[in-house]
Amino acid sequence: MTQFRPELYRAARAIAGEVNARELADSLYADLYGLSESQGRRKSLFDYFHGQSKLSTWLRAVLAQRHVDEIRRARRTQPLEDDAGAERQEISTAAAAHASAKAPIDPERARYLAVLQAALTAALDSLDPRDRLRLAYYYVDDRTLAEIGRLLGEHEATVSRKLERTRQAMRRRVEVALREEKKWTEAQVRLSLEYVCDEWPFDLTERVRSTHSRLQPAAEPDAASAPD
Amino acid sequence: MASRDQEKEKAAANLLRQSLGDSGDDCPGPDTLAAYFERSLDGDESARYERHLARCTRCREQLAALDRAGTPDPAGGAPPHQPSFWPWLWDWRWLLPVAAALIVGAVWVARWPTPKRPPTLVVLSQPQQAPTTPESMPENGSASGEVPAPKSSPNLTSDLSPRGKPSPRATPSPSSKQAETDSLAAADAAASSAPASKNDALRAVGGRLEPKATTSNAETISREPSSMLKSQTASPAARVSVQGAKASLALEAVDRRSTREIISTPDPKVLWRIAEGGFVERTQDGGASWQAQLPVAGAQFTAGSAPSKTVCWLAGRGSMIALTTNAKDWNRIPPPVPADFVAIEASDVSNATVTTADGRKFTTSDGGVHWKLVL
Repeated sequence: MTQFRPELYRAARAIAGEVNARELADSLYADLYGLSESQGRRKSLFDYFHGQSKLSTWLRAVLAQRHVDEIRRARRTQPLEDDAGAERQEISTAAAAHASAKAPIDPERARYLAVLQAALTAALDSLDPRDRLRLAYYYVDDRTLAEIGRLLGEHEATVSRKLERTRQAMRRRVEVALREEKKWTEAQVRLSLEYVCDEWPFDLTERVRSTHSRLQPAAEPDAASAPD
Repeated sequence: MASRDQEKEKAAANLLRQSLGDSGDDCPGPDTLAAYFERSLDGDESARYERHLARCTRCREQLAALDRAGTPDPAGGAPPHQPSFWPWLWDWRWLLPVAAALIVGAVWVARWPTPKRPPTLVVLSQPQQAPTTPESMPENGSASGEVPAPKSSPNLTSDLSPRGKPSPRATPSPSSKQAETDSLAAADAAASSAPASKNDALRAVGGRLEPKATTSNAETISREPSSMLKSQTASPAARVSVQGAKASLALEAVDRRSTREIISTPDPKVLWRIAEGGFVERTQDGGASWQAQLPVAGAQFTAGSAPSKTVCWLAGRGSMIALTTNAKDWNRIPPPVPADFVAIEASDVSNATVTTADGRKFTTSDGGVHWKLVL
């Protein structure tokens, strides 16, 4: 059984990078071989394997989940290291300057954006889950077409084509929602899209978060998440 | 321009991020993650997981991490993330012969002549070769009569002359062999200068060579069937028409396709036309050159209406209605009823009336969101 230990390390290295691999793999190994006791009984992590997949894949999945949870926990609780902190400081001041240079937040603008957001959410809900996922991979996770293709089992060209179709569908649905349900005029629709393109505080907050998440190993996607 | 697009992309990303959210709860465990990764979840379970994935950054990060770990194990451990069925479809070793076969097949289909169509010749040889043809032409203008295609010339033509004329008709076997060589030569000519896409080659070879898609040596000549009988006197005419062909190319191109649906716009230089396979083409210079678009692959458009240079409505079989407002991006418009549409009239981007095959008319004034039966 111990022959898969090197494999576990290999997977851990691929997932978490050289620095964190050993700890990740060792802690999993310990949990697997029941070095902890619960209610007087040795409990092994293997108890949680239900055979829905290959064992090796399941083990890698456990590693992946543990690693990501650890990363996310670290993001939330740890203070930033010095140089990242300095960078963050820079961005904050730049952001503040930028924000004050522009007009103060126009309540009208905020209203437009809120309505647009609601229309967008509704349009997203109307999508096929796979199309929605493709959008998330592209826009939220910043993945390349090739990566998305691999994750979804599609050819790169298919990903591109389907993203475009989904984008167009979204645009149409949002515009229809705004015009029909909110009775917005063409001009209002255009104006709201203009507002979206301008910088505004939300955007800057995201940028700060994404800078923070760059502390992760090189392979980690630059996934900026909404406030936890 | 580019930075504006970047801004828009960034804005879209931000909005989507917020709208999609980051649920972070009720996340499935490693069993589901592993099974999804291996594609051993069934359709429902997979869709359910994808529904969750779209809204959960945490689970997507986990999937990405698992993907990183999915490298092949030399000791014969878990195989890498299996590519799906479809990518092998694009393997060039498979695709190229299939594409070639399709091209030949398409030419065969396209070459069935229609009685009223004037024959067209594509001369792929140098213009000065044209005068030499009469020497090798048979005296009586019969037998191998692919005009002006002597067997000595390797550059052959595709002859779309109508059937039913016994004397100029070629005997079946030589013409069929020549047809195949024609099609491949024409396909090569088209493919070498046009972008190497199967669809372009297909369309080009199917008797619809674009002036811009051909090499500098390729000309398009229109001939009357009767002229094939006058093979000897054809040579000066051939020479003249070869040299004059370029000048009349634009007119010729539009004429040859006069049976195809031309959709005019208020600007006489800007026209649309419906091609095959769901393609439409648009010209901005009165027909000298056309740009192709694919609003809906495989659609059968039967009619169109373009109230402006950039707004065009299309309607067709199988409940097909499509609209573009910028002459570039197309959207499908949900139909009023499932039906084959045979006509459409539009006055602007919002107002249009479609006619079904059984004569019903429906009209919209909001760009196709709502339709009303016209009584």
